[in-house]
Amino acid sequence: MVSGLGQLLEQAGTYDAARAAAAEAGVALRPESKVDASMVRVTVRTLRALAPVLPADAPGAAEERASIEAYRQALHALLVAVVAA
Amino acid sequence: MTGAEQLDTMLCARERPVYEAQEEAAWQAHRAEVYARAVGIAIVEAELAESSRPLLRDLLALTRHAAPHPFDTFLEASLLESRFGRWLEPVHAAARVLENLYAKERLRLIAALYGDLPFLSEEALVAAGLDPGRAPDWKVIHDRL
Repeated sequence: MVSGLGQLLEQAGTYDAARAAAAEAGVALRPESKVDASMVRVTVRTLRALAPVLPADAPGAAEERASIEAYRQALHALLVAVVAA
Repeated sequence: MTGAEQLDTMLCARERPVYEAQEEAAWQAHRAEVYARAVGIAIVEAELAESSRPLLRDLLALTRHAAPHPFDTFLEASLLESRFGRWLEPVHAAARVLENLYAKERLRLIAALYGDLPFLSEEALVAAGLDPGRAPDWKVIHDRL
């Protein structure tokens, strides 16, 4: 649930759009607050800034891709926690 | 701290100043140049050397990059921490893994570019040309801006 919903919320981008997307997906929503809106905004901004920077042939390139994916999943879980009850 | 770590710290502070403060970046650039001169390397000249350009380009790209974090330059961080701490812990941990990976790669590139570098104490940096007793030196900062 976290992975799919997290992806959906990331694509939604804003707090209101994320809440609408979650509601459409049948997810119960938390009571809203301005703090939550900030959290969604900065988390989505962080997710969209995530991209590999190491050259493809660098020794750490594969580890970087795996680490970015783990980071993305943690950020998705955070987004879901902010929006869903 | 090793010399490579010292140079890495200076380069990162130059490229990624806290809250994007130009003054801090200017001061750290000055410190990095003093360090480079003192240990006999030339960071700027190395950028022009064809043989070292790919490595240096990679190094500079990495010093400009940090694992992006939700709280970077975000003034309400403590409020969000108190509200979402349980979910932020894995976020912090994942960001640290990525940041450690980039730090390791930067040190590898510094070693490939400059070999073993000595660590310079504050006194040695002062002897190499930092204005004693004035850190940060506002004249240096404003001359660079």
